[in-house]
Amino acid sequence: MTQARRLSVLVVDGDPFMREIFGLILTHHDVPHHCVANAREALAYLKHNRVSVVVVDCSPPHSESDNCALAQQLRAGDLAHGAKLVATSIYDARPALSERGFDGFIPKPFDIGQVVPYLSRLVEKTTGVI
Amino acid sequence: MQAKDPASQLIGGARNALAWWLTARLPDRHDAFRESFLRRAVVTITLLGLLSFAASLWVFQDEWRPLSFPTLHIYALVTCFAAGIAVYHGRFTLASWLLVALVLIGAGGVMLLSRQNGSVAGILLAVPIFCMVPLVATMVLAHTWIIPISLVSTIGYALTQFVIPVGDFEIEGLRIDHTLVPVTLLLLFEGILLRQLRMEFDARLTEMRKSVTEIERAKQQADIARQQAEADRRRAEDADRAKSQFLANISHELRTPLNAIIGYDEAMLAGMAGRFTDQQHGLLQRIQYNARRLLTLINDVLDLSKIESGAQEVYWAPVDPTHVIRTTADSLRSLAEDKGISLEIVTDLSTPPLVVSDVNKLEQIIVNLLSNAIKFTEAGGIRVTTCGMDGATWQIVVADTGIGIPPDAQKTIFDPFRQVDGSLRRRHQGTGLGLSITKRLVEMLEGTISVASEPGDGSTFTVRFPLHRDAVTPGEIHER
Repeated sequence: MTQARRLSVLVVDGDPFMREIFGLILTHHDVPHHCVANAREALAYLKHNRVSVVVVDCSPPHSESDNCALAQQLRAGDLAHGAKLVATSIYDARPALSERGFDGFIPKPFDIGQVVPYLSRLVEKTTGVI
Repeated sequence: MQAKDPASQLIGGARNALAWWLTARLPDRHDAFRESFLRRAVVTITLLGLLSFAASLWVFQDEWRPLSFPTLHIYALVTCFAAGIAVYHGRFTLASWLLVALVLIGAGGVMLLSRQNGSVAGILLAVPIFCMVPLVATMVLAHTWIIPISLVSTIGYALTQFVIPVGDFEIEGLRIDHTLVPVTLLLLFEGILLRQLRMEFDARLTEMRKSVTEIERAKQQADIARQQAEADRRRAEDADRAKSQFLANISHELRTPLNAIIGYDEAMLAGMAGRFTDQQHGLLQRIQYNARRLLTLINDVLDLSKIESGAQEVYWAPVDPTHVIRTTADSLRSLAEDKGISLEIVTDLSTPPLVVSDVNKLEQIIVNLLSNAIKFTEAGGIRVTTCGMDGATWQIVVADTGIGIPPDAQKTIFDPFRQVDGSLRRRHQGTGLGLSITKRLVEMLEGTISVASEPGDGSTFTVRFPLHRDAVTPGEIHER
């Protein structure tokens, strides 16, 4: 199994099935992770924990939902403690999500084998653009 | 401001009244009406003038002096002729003032006759009776009153000639009582003329009012139609918004569970849920394949709907076209290799280093064209060429050695749900939306797309975009 030692992930996705799939992938790669359903739970988790990546489901990307606004909230309050913010969506809207402050993007449906390598690369880079 | 004396005010008032009578009722925008009226007036006055002239020569046997009855008739006829010429040339205002001059000449004739009779009372009576009474009657009363008023004026004038002592009645050997007949007849003629004019005015005025009413009604109907159209437009917009919202919702609701199916299936294929037999593995692969096909179909239909409803946004940004084409083509290279065909990328030196475009849409265009080319090519290969054109445009050419497209099908190849024939669709499993979506995406990026193909010899798709050179500044490129 590939192990990404520096990688720890917080998954924010309203769909319990997608949270489970993320959980399967990250467990399979021995990546410490925690899955929550919404931005409120994410903020509560980040108050007491640190992660290297926050993966946020933004579907649809233009909505003013809590999830889509999470990146801006985290950046404004430095609540992510330097974590990379990655959007995931069934809509391919990288420019819109980039404007909202995300560092990376995983389109759904994603290639399961590519998720952890992608997140690892993103963490290792000092800067990242979608 | 200098105050005017009463006489000037009176003359000014009279002039204004005459001008109002002759011109205010004949606005310039009703030239056809004015022309008709003035022609009739000129013809009638000319005939009347000729009659009066003949009468003056026969009855009065006056001398040819600057201010005698015959010469006044000549002035009147010349003025009338001039009015006719003015009408002919469309100078209606001039013609109107010439008619005013005619009335004044007529009044002058009456005054002259009275003066020759040596009667001040005659002058005082003649002018108002000849000019003012019929004039006022014409302006104020209905046309049916004008002839009776003229008759009353005629009789009244005739009576004054008998009742009021006027002294010496001799005019060049003729007695004044001999002149009464033609003079009073002139009054009658004047009445007939004015009645005709008034009838003409009334008829035209009624016509104009009718036209105005019709115009008003038409305007009201147009207003109602406009309000109706506006309401229809609002309803259509509401319906369109509802449709877009429905599409957005259905898109989300369809894709979310499908993504979960694909995700679980991939997780099982990746061995995250234990080992499977080869047969089970094969079945899972079929689930994966069909779920992705369904997702592509849903995405295509929703993409086309979004494009057609204008819900797709364009994110303009500087883009390196060579980089985008190479990375996109590389992502599809494995598909070409699986079929044993080549995929060649050729970047001409003229290709601009930066263009302004929407990177996602550009990628989708290249993916669609390349996927199509791979799908319909069984042997040979595909070549993607980029180059700059004439400094204002740049182009991508995707050429394949596939089955080609018959000429008649090339006309409809960019229409939705079109493939060359149904058997190909079944064989190649497509929705027939790819090229239609591609064309619309190209148009969103202000470009054009064309196809050249020969059945059996492959197809060449050429996409051309404007350069938007002014909008590009070095260093703005987004690293991907």
